[in-house]
Amino acid sequence: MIKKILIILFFSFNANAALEVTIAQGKVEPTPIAITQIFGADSDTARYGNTLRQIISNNLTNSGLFYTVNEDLYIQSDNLVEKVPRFEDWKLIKAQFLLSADVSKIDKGIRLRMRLYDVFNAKEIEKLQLTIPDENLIRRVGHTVSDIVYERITGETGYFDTRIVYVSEIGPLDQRVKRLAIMDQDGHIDSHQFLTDGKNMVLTPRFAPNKQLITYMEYKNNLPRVYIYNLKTGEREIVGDFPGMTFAPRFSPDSQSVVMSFSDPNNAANSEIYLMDLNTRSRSRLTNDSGIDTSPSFSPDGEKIVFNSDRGGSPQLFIMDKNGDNIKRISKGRGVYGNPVWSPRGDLIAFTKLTQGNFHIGVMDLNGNNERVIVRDFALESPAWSPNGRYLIFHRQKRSNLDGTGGEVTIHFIDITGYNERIIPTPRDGSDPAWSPLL
Amino acid sequence: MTISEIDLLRQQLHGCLNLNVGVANLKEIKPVIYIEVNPDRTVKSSKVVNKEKLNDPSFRTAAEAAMRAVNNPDCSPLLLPADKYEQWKEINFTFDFSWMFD
Repeated sequence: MIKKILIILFFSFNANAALEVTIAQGKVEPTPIAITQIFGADSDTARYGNTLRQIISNNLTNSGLFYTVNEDLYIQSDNLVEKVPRFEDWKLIKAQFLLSADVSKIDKGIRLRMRLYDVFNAKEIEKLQLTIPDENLIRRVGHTVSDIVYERITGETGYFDTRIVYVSEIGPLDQRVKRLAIMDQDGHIDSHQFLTDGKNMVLTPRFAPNKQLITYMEYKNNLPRVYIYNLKTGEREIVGDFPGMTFAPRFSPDSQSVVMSFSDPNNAANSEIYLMDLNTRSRSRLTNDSGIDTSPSFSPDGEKIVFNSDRGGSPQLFIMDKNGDNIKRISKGRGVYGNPVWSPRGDLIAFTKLTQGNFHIGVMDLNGNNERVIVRDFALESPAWSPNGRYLIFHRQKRSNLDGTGGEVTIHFIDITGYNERIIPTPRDGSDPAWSPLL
Repeated sequence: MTISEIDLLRQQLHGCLNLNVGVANLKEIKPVIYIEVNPDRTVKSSKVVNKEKLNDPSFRTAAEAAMRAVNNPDCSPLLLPADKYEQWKEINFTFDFSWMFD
């Protein structure tokens, strides 16, 4: 009898239980977002709103994770900052998210109000009010709003309010003029600025994590030396009093030191990695080998350094402790490896590899496993991470002609999944890009 | 419900789940979405079952993506056998994102 009751109860429970279904697939494609007109009370603020909207739309689209739904399809045209949207109207045009904002003049400048809605879940998911003291900050405001939207929807930190420093190039290949230049991450011409005059060739600029300093190599009086450029003051200074060539500099995560290569003038076939404390100007040698040790890059926690060395024959990638101990080779594949850069997330190393006559840019785990090529071509160099560790920038060079023409160099952006490659526009050729942290 | 009927529903939801990759620890995140379904096979209500995890921004992002999938107009009405309403009037969808890392 008891057994019979138990069986009846069991079936009864099952009859009322929810159906269980596991969804273990989906699609990875840009998410549609609608961005309404950014309303302004007068022609000035309306113009300001239009520019802001353009910046936000471009940023989100360029990320490869969003596309802006065509405005012609919008059914509702109201200012939705103070009014609840008619979600059904936005669902009809398949907008998954809706961004609405307005701008108005106040005593202290311009006030921006923004609302972000999840259309399918019919709810507001973010709101923001900003006072903008100076109209000239419009590009930074656009980038900041883009970062907030990106972060709220994807769950990862944004990267739009950042800058890229790079080497601007012009002229025939044997007489190239190379200048340091800086621009917003989108390459917008209004943000572009040259930092050096082109009299001396410059290479390998790198941002300090404190966002104020750039370290790079400059050929002055035919001697390549590592310099520091102060973005606030425009002043330049040599890093360390080395008797020979210093190159391939990069800051430590605390911005207090620079790690770089030094090549003894009496033995050009040898270079070692040094650490220079920028406060005390003391330096310490981290490697000691007969080969060429170069391209050092710190881990985000400052405890390890990845670098490139030909100590085993062909150039390969190695990791060592910050004091030079425990050197271990990590690259395992065939080919010539170079330019290792530690991801800001700490989980991957980006690198270049030359094999079978082509350059490759790829990523690998910290132990060298799971090497994955992201892009390959005739000439690719200088991978650099976005501050959120999701994207890489690098430069790509075309083949040159026998008469010295051709060989154009452009800066490219790509998702580390290998999708969404695009050129970052520069007024002249561009190489050696490096990304700033979030400003 | 038969396996092929559940597979049809699963396939439909696959086309409605759009997640921007990049959320930390996504491989381990498995939001469960409970829905009540109307007899006309439209979604009556939906909620996150394991909502105690919504304070984690990564879980919240994944759970919101899962909620958008079940409320996506492209997945309405749900592809369910009309004669088995009692079996599908409530559904628990477990979303497993580990496929994105294969």
